[in-house]
Amino acid sequence: MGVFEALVDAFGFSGAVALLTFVAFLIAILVAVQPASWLLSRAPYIFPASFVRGEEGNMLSRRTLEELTEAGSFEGAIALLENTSYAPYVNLEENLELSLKVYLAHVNEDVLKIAPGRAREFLEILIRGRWDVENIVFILTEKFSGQRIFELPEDLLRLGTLPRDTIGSLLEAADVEDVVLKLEKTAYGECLKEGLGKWKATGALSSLIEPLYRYYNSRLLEAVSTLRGEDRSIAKTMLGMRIDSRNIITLLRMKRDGISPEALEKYLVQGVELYGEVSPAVLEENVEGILHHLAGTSAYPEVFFRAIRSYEKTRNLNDVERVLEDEVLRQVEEISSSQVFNVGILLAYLLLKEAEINRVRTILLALQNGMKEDEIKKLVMEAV
Amino acid sequence: MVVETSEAALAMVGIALGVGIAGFGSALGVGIAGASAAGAVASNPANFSKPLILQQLPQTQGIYGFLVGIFILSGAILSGKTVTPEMSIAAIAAGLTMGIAGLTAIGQGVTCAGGIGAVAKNEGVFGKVMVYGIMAEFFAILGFVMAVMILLNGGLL
Repeated sequence: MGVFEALVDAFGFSGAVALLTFVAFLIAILVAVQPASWLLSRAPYIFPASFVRGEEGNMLSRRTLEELTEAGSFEGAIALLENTSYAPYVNLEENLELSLKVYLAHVNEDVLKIAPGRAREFLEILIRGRWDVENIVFILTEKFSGQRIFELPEDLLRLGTLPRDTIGSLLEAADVEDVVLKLEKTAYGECLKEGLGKWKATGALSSLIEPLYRYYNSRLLEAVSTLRGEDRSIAKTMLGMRIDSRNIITLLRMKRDGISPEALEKYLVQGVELYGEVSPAVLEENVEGILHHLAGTSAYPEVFFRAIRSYEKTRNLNDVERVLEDEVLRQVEEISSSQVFNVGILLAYLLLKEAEINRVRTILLALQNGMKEDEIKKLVMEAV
Repeated sequence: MVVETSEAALAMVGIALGVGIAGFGSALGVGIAGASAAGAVASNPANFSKPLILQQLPQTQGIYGFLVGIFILSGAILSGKTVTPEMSIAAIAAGLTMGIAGLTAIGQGVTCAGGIGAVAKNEGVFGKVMVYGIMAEFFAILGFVMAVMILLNGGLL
C-alpha cells in the first residue's frame, strides 16, 4: 500500500478524491485567511478615507495662499476666501481668532464622527484632550493679559472633556493662579501645580503652558499603544515626529531662558525617538550646539542644518520652530499619500488642516496689522 | 436514467459555483467601492458620477459568472443532450474557474475604493485611476476565456 492510500485510510476518508478535496479546501482557507483578515480590519476605513481625501481636495492650494498674501488688505483677503470652506468663519464682524478656532473644532469634530472603532477611541483622546488644553491655554492667556472673557463658544466647549461648570468657574477666576487652583481636582491639576512655582518666580506663562502640553503629549503616546498593527506604527511615526519637534523647540526655548539642565529634562516628553539623543552633556550646550548635535545624530541632518542657518541669520527661535514644523508636515503629507485605509490618513488630515488654518490666521492677522506683502510671504510661504 | 439525472445535477453544481462565487466577489467589490463612493459624496455631493463609474467596475465578474452559468444551462440542461460524466465534470470545472477568477472583483473593489478617494481629492486623476481599476479585470477575463474553452472541449458549447 502506497503512502497516499495509507493517508486515506489513516484519516478515514472514503477515497482519494475526498482526501484531495479536503486538502484543497484547507489550502484555500489558509490562502484566504490573510487577505480576508486584512480586508476585515481595513474595511471600516474605506468610507472615512474617501471622505478625508475629498476634504483634502477642498484645502487651499499654494496659489490661493499666495493670492491671499497679495490681497493687499484684510477686506480683499476675506473676499478671496468667499468661495472656500473658510467663508462661514471669516468675515469683517467676527473675532478672527475665535472663529478660526471654531472652524478647526468643526474639522476635528467631523473626523471624530467618521472615525471607526478603535481609531475613534484614540482620536477621542487626541481631539478632546487637545481642546481641553486649548481652552485652558486660551483662558490662561486672557487672564494673563488682563482681558475679561465671559464665555467660550459652545463648539469649543463641546469638544473638550471639562464640564461646563468648571469652564464657567475658570472664566470667573480672578487671575492666572486662581485658574490653576480651580483646576486642582481635574486631570490637569497635577501638571499645572508643577509649573505654578516657576510661574510665581518668573511670571512666564510658558511655565504653565509647557507642562500642559507635555502631559497631553504623554497621554497621546499612551493612547497610541491602544491601536493595533499598521495603525499603531503609523500613528506613532506621525505623532512621534511632531512630539520630537515640540521637544526640541521646548528644549531650545528653555535653554535660551537659562533654565538649568536638570530642570530642562522635566519639560521633555519621554518615549519618542529623539528623546534618547538628548543626553545631560547635550543639555549643557547652547542653542547652536544642541542643533549641531542633533544634526549629527538625526536621520535628517539637512533639516537641522537648515534650522542652524535660519537661527544664525535671525537669532529667532520662531524660525527654527518653523523649519522643524515644515519638515514634520512635509513628512506627514508624504506618508499620508502612500497610505490607503488606516488611521494615518485621518491623522495627517488633522495635522495638515490645522497647519493650513494657522497659515490663514497668520496672513489675515498680518493684513489686519498692515504688514507688507513681502513680510507676510516670509512668514508663511516658505512653509507651504 | 438515474445516471443521467445525477450528471445533470452535477452540471448544475457548475452553474452554482460560477454564478455564486463570482457574484459573491462582485458583491463584495461593489460594496467596498460603494462605501468609498459614499465617503466621497458625503464630503462633496458633486463627487457623484466619477465615483459611480469606478464603483461599477467590480460588477463585471458577476456578469461573466452569470454568462458561464447560462452557457452550462443551455449546453447541459436546455439543449436536451444526454449529459455524460465528462460533460458534468467540465461544467463543474468551468464554473469553478469562473467563480474563483470572479473573486478578483474584491481586489478590484479595493483598488477602486482607493481610486475614488484619489478622484475625490483631485478629479483630474480619474483616467489614470480607471487604468488601475481595469488591471484586475484582466485576470477575470482570463478566467472567463478559460471557462469557455473548458465548456467547448467538454462538448457543452
